[in-house]
Amino acid sequence: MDPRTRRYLTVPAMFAFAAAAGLVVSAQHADAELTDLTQTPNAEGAGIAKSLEEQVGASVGDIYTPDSSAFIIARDPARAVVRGQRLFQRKFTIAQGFGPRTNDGIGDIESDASLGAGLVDSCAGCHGRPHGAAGFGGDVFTRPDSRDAPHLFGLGVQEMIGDEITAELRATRDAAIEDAQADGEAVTVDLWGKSTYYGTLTAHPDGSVDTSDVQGVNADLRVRPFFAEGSTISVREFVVGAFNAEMGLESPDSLLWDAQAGPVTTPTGMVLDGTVDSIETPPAADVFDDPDNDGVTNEIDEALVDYVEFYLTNYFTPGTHQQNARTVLGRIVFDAIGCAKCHTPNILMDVDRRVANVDTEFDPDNGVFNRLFATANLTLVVEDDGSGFPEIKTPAKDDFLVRGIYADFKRHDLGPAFWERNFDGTLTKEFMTEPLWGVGSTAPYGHDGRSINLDEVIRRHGGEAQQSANFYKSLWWFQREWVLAFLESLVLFGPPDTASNLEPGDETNPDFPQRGHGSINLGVLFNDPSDAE
Amino acid sequence: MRGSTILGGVVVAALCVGLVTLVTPDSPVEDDTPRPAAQTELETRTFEHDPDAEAEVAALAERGKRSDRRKLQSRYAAWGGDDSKVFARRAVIDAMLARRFEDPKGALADLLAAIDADRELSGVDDPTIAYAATQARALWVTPGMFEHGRDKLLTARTDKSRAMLADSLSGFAAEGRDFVDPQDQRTAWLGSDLADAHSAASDGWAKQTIERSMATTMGPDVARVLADPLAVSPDQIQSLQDELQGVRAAVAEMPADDRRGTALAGLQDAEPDELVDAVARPLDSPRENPHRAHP
Repeated sequence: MDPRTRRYLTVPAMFAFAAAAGLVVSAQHADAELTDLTQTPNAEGAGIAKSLEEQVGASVGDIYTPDSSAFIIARDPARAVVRGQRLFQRKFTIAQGFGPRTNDGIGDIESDASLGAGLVDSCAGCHGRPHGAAGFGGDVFTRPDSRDAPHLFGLGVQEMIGDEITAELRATRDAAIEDAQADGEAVTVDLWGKSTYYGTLTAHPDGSVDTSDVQGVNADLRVRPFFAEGSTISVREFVVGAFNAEMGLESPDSLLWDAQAGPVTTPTGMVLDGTVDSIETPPAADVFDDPDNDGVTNEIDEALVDYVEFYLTNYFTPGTHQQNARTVLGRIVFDAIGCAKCHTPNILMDVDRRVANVDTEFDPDNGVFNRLFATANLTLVVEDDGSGFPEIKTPAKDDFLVRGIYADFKRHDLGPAFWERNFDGTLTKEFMTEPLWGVGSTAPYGHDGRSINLDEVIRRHGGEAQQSANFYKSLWWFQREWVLAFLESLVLFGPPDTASNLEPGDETNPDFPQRGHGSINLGVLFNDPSDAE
Repeated sequence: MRGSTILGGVVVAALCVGLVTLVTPDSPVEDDTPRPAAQTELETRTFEHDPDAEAEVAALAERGKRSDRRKLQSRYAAWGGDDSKVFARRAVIDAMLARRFEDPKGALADLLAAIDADRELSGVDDPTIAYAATQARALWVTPGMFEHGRDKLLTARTDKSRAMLADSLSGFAAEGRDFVDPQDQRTAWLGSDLADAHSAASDGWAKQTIERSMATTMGPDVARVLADPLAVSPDQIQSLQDELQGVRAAVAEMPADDRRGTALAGLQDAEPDELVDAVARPLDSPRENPHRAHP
């Protein structure tokens, strides 16, 4: 057989291989925040298996450099995901570069909101709920009215959809310019991205464009899915920025530096190009730079950025709890009163750059905690490159129907009750439509956490959503209950607490449910499952 | 705990269950939704055979290459509206589905391509759509293909394929044969998808077909809500009043202090006419809301 023959690998095939080889390890139960076992050894073996130095390994390297991020992402992607997860959970120490706060929290907060962010020693410190998840949690003083930390489920999907919409909008703009130049007269076009309408744009024969009627996206037509106001393009920028602003950990990420000058492709396949878009710069100039003067340089090695980016890009989409007639009725009324106008239920992604999809659904027969059960489906193409190293496993890049995201990737003005004060005295009036997946688990609500429950946050809608809010308030109460039942069925879950086809629950375990409750244990998919992360 | 408090809890629970079950059947029930008149007429009409066309289909199907399948799709579209070609068009559908064992996703893609290619004939006038829906049930025998069909329902390019898939998937689920549905979750998921598909459909015939599919899947009450989401029928209002009367009687036995500040107080105080007014209050044309009012 040609060693370069490409084939798809299924979860059962990989799992069977690992089991046959006697390599299936027990779940590595991982709580929200973790220390590592080299720092805090314990009889239970609870914690991150590898030290920070071991996680850095051979740094970025290439696909022929064992223990490098390029090698592991290409040849052992499940390990790369879990390493990113462990880094997300790692409680960094001062010796590793943790802190200080931006200028010790003193300075012009009008121009640098990170002065109000404070410090947390792990990503999971703010994004740690529900238990063991890259979820929601903290509330930080980066705005006068504060901001709540959103959950990070489905983050990669959001990046990909935002990027595809951007490409669609820009293609429409470029075609309009061509037409205007060919016809010698102005051309006005509707701007559609996926099923979302972004207003109109007028192209002139001289190549200029009038974007005054563009809606819900910047004039550059770049959809920025991250942060409530829609300000960041990519998972990688988000990761490097948060390490710095919230943890005082400075990365000299060369990839983001290189992106300032032209297109670069991140390990997850995202193309960043500073000549087209505004790409955020890393806090440190190079591996010798120490902007926070804490005596530690290269605090977040580029390989660590690779792993966390890979983890969050491939992170699970939210789950769904019990579906029944009430949730279906709620779904119908949700649509009828206009909620789905902005909270678009489903979006077809043209190219899925993830290596797997995990569906987590209500299944009392197989679920243990929360009666949820997850099914992982690998979406990999496997290729033996003849190098003698493990096979290269890359995303199949098929299309993928993103179900139940309930977002249109567009900014809207939801009226004064949602407006947000800024430190400079201005108001932010437009916010990205919040994806509703997971919304049943994430009270309180709103970018500022001001709404105590779902009913209240719906009633708080105004502005562009005023009519829908009015309809909602006009509903007979049982109809509102249907809508709330539907929304409450959109849930988050703790991967280490959720039985799955990777590690089903085992009630025969004598220590059940402390042990044997099952988990989404990606460790069984490692090339060497005995080498724990 | 005082007895009246317990009574209050029971009353509230009974009211909630009562009202919710007004439109919330426990399980799918027999479809009693009237079929569109035109559809009924189509299903009772008889058609003549065109042996030449059917022979051509048979020959192309026999060869079975990709180019032959494309020709079959073209024929299917071109023959739309010709009553003498109905059997030939059905044969095209059979030919597309014949590949379901070797490549079920490919077979479905071919079938949808044929249906979508026929842009001229509306669904209400096309006697092959219902046939395709019935025949396509054979595709859904594995959970993976059923899920794939649901995906296609949500991404359908035309109302005809959307309606065909809704009819086919709901019909398959209702048959029960080969449909594994622990905890009724797959049924409910299909119901949710039908709601999405109904929202996406613009053609009245397609909407009605999806409403029938909803009736088959989730019961006629849910289908009625799908057809007119914010309406509350006179029957429902009467049921609400009956429930309320029962609650009033129970609440009246409670000490006033226990009712104060609770939902029970409001229920006790509500007048029947006020209740009817509240339920029947006209909304500002909610179905003319800007849900799909993009310029």
